[in-house]
Parts: sequence; structure tokens; C-alpha cells
Amino acid sequence: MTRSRVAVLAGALSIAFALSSACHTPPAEPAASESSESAPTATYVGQEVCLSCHETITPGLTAKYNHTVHSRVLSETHSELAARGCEACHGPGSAHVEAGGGKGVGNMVRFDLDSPEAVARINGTCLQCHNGGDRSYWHGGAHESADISCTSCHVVMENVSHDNLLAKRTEVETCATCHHIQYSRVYSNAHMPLRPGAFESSTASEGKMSCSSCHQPHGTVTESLIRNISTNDQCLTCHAEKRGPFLWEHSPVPEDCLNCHDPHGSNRRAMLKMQVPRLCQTCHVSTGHATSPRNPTDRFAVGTACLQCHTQVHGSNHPSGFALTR
Amino acid sequence: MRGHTRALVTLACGIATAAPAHADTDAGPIHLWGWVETGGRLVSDEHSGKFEEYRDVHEGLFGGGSVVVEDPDRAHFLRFGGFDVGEDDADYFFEGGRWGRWDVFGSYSQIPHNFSNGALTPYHGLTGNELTLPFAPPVDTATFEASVIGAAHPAHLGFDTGDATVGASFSPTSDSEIKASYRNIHRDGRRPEQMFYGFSNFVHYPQAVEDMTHQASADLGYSRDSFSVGLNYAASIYDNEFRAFQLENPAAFAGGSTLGAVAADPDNTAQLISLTSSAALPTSFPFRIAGTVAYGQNRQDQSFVPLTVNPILAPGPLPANDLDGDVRPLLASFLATVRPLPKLEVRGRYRVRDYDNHSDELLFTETSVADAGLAVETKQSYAPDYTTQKASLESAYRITSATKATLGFAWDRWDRSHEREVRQLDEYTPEVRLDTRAGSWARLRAGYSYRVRDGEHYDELAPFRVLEPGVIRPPLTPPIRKYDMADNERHTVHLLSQLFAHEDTDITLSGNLHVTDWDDHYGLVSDDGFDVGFDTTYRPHERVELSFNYTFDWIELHQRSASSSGTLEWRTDHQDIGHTGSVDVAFAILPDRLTFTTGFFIHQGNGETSTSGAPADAVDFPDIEDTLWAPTASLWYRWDEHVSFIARYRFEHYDQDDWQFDELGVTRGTSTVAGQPLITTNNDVFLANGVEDYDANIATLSVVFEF
Repeated sequence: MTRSRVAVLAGALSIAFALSSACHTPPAEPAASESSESAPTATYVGQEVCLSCHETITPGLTAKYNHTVHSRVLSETHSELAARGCEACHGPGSAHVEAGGGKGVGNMVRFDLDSPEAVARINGTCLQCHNGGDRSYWHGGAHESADISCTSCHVVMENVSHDNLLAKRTEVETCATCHHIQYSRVYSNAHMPLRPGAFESSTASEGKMSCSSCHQPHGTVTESLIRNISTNDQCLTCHAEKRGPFLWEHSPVPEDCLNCHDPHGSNRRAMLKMQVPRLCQTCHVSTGHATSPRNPTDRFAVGTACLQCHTQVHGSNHPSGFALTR
Repeated sequence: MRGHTRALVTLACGIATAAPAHADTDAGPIHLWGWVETGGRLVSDEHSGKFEEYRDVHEGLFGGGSVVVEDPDRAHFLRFGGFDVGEDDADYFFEGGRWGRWDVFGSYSQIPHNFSNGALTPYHGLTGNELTLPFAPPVDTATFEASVIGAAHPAHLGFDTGDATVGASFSPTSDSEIKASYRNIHRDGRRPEQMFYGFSNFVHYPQAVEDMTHQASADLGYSRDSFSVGLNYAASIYDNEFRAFQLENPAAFAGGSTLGAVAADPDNTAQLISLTSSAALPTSFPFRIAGTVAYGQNRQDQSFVPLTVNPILAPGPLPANDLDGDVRPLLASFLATVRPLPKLEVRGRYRVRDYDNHSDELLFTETSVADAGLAVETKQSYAPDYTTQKASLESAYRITSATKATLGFAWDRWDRSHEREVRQLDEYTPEVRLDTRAGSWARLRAGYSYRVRDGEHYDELAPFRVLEPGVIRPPLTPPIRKYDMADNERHTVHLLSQLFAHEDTDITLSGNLHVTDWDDHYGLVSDDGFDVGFDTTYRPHERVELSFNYTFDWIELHQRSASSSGTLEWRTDHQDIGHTGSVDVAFAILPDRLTFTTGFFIHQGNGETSTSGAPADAVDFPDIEDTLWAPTASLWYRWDEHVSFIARYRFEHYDQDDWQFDELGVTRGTSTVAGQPLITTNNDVFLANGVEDYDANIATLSVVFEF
């Protein structure tokens, strides 16, 4: 596909899309908190009524909740829905109160269940407010397709983590609940500073990056939930010195950093997938030095092997750099 | 999250962090709450660069905290604080504004990156870009060895990164948001680099790092009901203090130039504007669409360094003053999610990304690859560009209320420019997944995909025809196929299982398998991997919580090649294995008063590179191994509702065997590999920067004040 065709197609589609979005009518799917399952006569009772019982059932609930951002945003007239307080998320509570309470009584929205129906209801509740922006690609995204609920990763009623109301103390540990292999590779000898510490930050942690430094778990335009428009653009956010463009390019570099690197961690220096010189030798041949296997005591096997001469492996801007040596 | 899981998390966090759970402090007209921790730290090892690779853990005082101040109505707030305050890995933050309406925010994070505390170098001028040697030019290998060894002095390898962000957001209505931010990344220090002067010799040296990245971003967003639209603009400027690095050659007697210079990473800029919109369409069944269009420009026009720094060479003029680098990335992505029937959901996605390179393509008639001499030869630079497309369609059918089956198909296309070996390449990936639940106590997710990559004709000489116009090269020997473009097949299996067998027990099991095979030509032949992970938390008593996790990771790659004009074949098997596991126990001796936790963590990695074949040097490389293990313990005592004391202890052991660096000194004469001397005669300089093993005891005693 030529670039001009791509540009015209993209422009036409974007215009058509914007027009169709601007002409929308109210959606066919009901909001979860107002689903057909709601008791027809349930009305809002007010947050104070909720807390009068639930503080007795769970002492300390109010104090913990009062330190969360939801307690602030749902307690003011930020919107008609937000002003409902507890009932903005859990639904109108009059039937629940009249029945004397109890789990699920009065068709309250519960956030501790994970059947497919409950997941849809939970996510629909959260998306009443948290739609758009970072959640534009939630529907059809990897986590939504896997029936992951918002409360699989987030806890609303207290600050377990420092930020973002995560289910565990750190983001890395939250993601590691399911993504075991990526978590284990963070402990490889070549890694980026993601390791969470045993005791906050005073003793052993790195904690300078988190999974969301590169990934957007709520859904994105890019594979593997990468934040930016491509894997490379994501890496170049911090590693801007590799962006170029360079006079002499190393062709696989501007295509995909993951051609050579494992972003989560590796046994090999510089997070490479294979040992140098073997990594280079999977692609390169010249009737000459490149494809000799090299004894480990050879000067072209020790150290950084091929990179001792071909130092500018990400690209060179030097007039004599066609072989990436300058 | 399930109720008992939340209870376990609450207990664990209460134990680990002395969770704040009390009323605010009213300080006159304002509300005040938060926590402050301060204490002392004893450390038995502060010398290993690996110990402080990304952190600053030293003896002395430490502190941190988080404070929130609110007005009487709790409508406005100011939150500020920091961790590891005053240390080289500190984090600071502030945020203030009106809850849910507007805020200003900022943060500053210091990130050390240490490579080695034991490196040695004969070079001087390490803070700049002209490195010199403090001795007269050696005349032979003997004087070279003596001079370099005699001049070698310690050179800390590492750089510090300061990452600062400021910004503001404003929500004029509950449906809209305006946000802007600026981020500054500043790096300062040294990193290990290399340069060569020809086959005669190369040097490892500490290269100064002094650069800054400026990033600005602005967002406009509007969303209501099930419609949203967002506009984003992002810009980035990279500024490198250095244009080139020049080094004196300590072994010019061997035939190389007395001076050599490499170009530094050039200054560059990037801009991207994107429009994203999502909506639920007015149909009788759920139908959602989302789309993004993004367009940008990356520029690089730093003036070229000279063709050579060799003072005795007189090259002609360069064909241009700079590259006039200009890349214009374009992205268009569309996603549709439809539920035409109550049990059927269909998802369609199309994505196109165009890397449109408008950079100049320059013809050079002279080169000097090692600054040793001028070669009259024609080299043509090229501006690679490519377009990728991906289209996928998958349908998920809920067979029962507990079981969902998904069938999918994806097509990927790469279109590359003329300097690449394969100009058009397609991948086809059918996929099947199954999600099922057993009541409320188990869930299982399993998936299988099969991907076929099929490229058009592989033209191995395409890059050379562009690089060397008019030069006719013979076919390459051996005819290696680059693995990112060669045809292959890949099988992938995913498994994730979660069990909630009991109110107080959670078990998660995951596994992945991939098998990738290329045709048995030269290059990468196969890539196989398998991993399994296990994670469980068990609360046998309301005061006791146990957790255990283990992950096994295995990767194996096979490659085939041949040396000496393609006549002596050899093969290499790469195998990487990782074991990662931990066990932790938390015991509430006195509930909410005295809690003891202890645990043990271990990671062990091993990388093998085995080679066999006809050439005499087709022998195995020594393994690369590393082990990290750490027992920990802590005792938390709550004195009253405001004050807690925490005693912590951690022992860390780390050892690593890396044959490529462990036994390197600064010269060949001071270097060995697995006890054997380097076999090839050389006058190379190394950095003696092998990874330093360590054993460290870390003990802290602190007081936490919550208010």
C-alpha cells in the first residue's frame, strides 16, 4: 500500500468515524447499575445510612475509605451520579435496607464476585465514570476479552497501594498475580529497575519503573497493550538517543527493538535474547570473519564480541559509519 | 476481587506497611493525614556495583512519608511526600487541587544505574569527550602492556538519571478533561563503550553520558454515556552534550591511527498528534467502535562530524552537511466489538502503521572506517521505511453460562523498502481459546494459536545493491536467512488457571509454550520456549498467612552457520533456564499490635551456548550463571494509634559467572577466560569491569508516625 493511499484512507476513515460518533443516539445497552435486574422500587437512601450499618459490620471501614480519592469525588456534587456516594457504585439501597441487609440482598452491585455476568456488571459500573481516555480501547481489549473485572486489579475501599487503588502493594505485584513469567524475568541479571522491595523503599527495592511504564492494561491500539503507537516508539520514550533517524541505519533496529532485546529481562547482558557473537551470527555473514564460531578465548568472543568493533549497533551518524564502526 | 482475597490482601498490607486506619488529625481549619517514617540502616556491603545497580542502600539515616492536607470541606487538597529522602534513589511527589475537578502535580525520581565499582582505565579526561593517555606512545606489545597497566586507575562506571515531571489537569465538566505535562529526563555519568582502530586493536573505555530529553504532552478529552473523543499532542526533544568521542590509540604501532573518533547519538526531535474516539452505535444490540489516527514527524539534522580525525589524511568534501533526517510515522487503528446475539460476541480490528522515511540518501565516495586510511569506495546511505498492517477477526460464543469458546484469525503484512531482503511478508494466525469456570471456585483459560509466515522471494543481496551501487557481489556464503524475515511456523499454547478451593486459599497456575521452526537453512533454525508459574496464598488461621510462588522459565534456540567460505558447517544450541521462587509467612502475634513476617526469595539463571561442527573453534562457550537469594524478616509493633516501630533484616547473596567479563583485566596480558589466556595476539584495552559478587546484610530500625 503506497503512503499516499494510506494517508487518504486514514483521513477518510477518521472523518467518517468522527461524523458517525458525533451523530450517535443513546446506546442500546443499559448501564449496569440500572440493569433490568434492579428491584423496580429501589430508591437511594444516602451514604450515611450505608455507613451506619457497615461501619459496625467492618470497624475501620469509614476511616480507610475516607482516605481514598473516591470518598472525595463521590461526596460532592461532581455529577448527579457522584452525589449518590456509596450508591453511585453499589446501586440504590432502599430494598437492601428494608430487607435488613445481607450479601446480595436488594440486588446491590457486589464487587467480590467474578462470574461473567458479575464481571460485566462490575465493569459497567466503573465505566459509568471511568470511560473514555485510557479506557477507550477497554471493550475488545485483551483483559476485557478474558473476563477480567476492574476489581481483579483494583481495590476501591482503601489505599492498599500508594497510587491507583491497586489490589496489591505495588503495581508489579498486582500484575504478577497472573503474569508470572514476566515477573520472574524482572529478576534476571539483566533487567530494568522494576523490582519491588520486600519493605517499601528503605531496604531493597528498585521500584523506578512499573508495568504501566510501558503497558496500558485498559487497552490500547498496539499489540501487547503497549502504550505508544508501536513497541519502538514506547522504548524511545526513555531511550530517545536511539530514535535517529541515522545516516547509516541497522535495518532491524527501526523496525522492532525486540528483534534483539527481551524487554522484561534476560540472562544475557544488555537484555539480549542471545549471547553475542551468536546473536549477530544468526543474521550476518560475509565470506570472512562474521561466521567463524570463535573459541571463547578469542579476542572477538570475549567482552562485547562483535560490538567491540561494530560499536554503533543502533545506527551511526558518522560519514564513515556504513559498517557501524564509527 | 473475591472477598477472602481482599481480606488476605488487607492482612498482608497491614502487616507489611502498618496500614493507616484511623481518624484524621484536625490542625485548626485544615484536615491532615498521612504517615512519616524515619530510621537508621546498617549495611555490610556497599562496594559492589551490582548491589547498587539501581538503588542507593547505604548506612545511615533514611526516611520517607506521605502527607495530605485538606481544607475544612475536604474539597481541596495538597498531597506531598517522598521515599528514600536525601538518597541517590529518592522519589519526591506533590499533587494539589480540587478533588475530581483540577489539580497540579509534580514528581522527581532519581535513578542510579551502576555498572561497576571496580573498573580500571588508562584514559584521562573521562568527564569530556576527548580521552587522552598519560604515557608516550608505546613502540611494541611489551611497552604497550607496561604502559597501560601502569596507567590504569579506577573509573566508576555508572550514570544517574533524574526524571522530573510537572503538569496540570482540569475538568471543566464531569465529562471533559484538559491535561498538560512536561517531563525532563537528565542523565549524567559514564557507561562502558568500545572503539576500534582496525583489526590491529580495539579499546574499551568509559564514555561520558550527559544528555537531556524534554517531553511535553497535551490532552483534550470528552466523554459521556458511551461516547468519548480525545485529542493528544506529544513532543520530545533529545539533546546530547556531545557530538563525538575522540580517543588516543595506545597501540598505534600495530598499524592503526594515532587517533580515533566515533559519532555520538545525535540530537533529534519527535512530534505526534493523535485523535481517538469510541462510541456505542445506535443498534438494537451492543455495537461499539473505537478508532485512533495518529500522525507525527521525527527530525534529525545534526551536522556531520568529519570523515576522519586522522590528521595525516585529507578527505574531500562531504556530500551534505547533515542528514536532514525526516521520518513521518502514521497510525490508523480501528476496533469494533459487536454482540449480535446474547451468547455471541464478535471483535474485528484493523491497524496500519506507516514508517515513512523522507531522510536524504547520500552517496559517499570516500570512507575511513577505522581512521587509519582513506578508502576510495562508493557507499550509499539509505532511508529504510516500511508499512505494517494487521487485521483480525474473532468470535466468542458462550456455550454455557460458565464456558466461552473463541475462534479467531489474524493477518499481518509487512511491506518494506528496496534495501531489505524480503519486501512483502504475510503472517496468518488462526487461534482458538476456551474460558471456563467451575462454580465460584475455579476458572480456566486455555488458548492455542498457529502462525504461518510467508514472505515473497528472499533477495539476500538487496542491501548490498543499495549500499554499493554498481558493485556486483557473488552470492553470500553461507546463505543465511535473517530470522525476522525468513519463513517460519509457530505454535503457541497459553494456560491460566485460578483456584479458590477454600475461603482462605487462592491458587494461580499459568503456563506457556511456544515452538517456532524456520526452514533448515542457515541462520536461526528453531526457537522453543516453555514456562510454568505457580502462586498460592493460604490463611490457615486468622492470625497466619502463608504465600508461596515459583516460576520455571526455559528457552532454547538452535542456529546453523558455516565458516571459511561456507564449507565448514557448525551449529549452536542456546538454552536459558530460570528458576524464581519465594515463600513468605506473616504471623499476627498480637492482632493489630505485634506482627512478625519472614520469607525467603531465590532466583537462579543459567545460559548455555553449545557449539559443534567442523571448524576447530566450534566449541562450547562457558555457561553464564547468576544466583540471587535473600532471606528476610521483620517485626512490627504498634505502640498506639499513631506510633509504630518496625525492625527489618534482609540478607542478600548474589553471584554471577560471566566468562566474557569475569577475568578481563585491562590488557591481554592481565586477562584470561575460564583460566585460559586469550589465544589471539592483540593490543586491546579492556575495562576490568566484571560483575562484582556480593553478600550483604541490611538491617533497619524505624519509627512510623501516622496521623
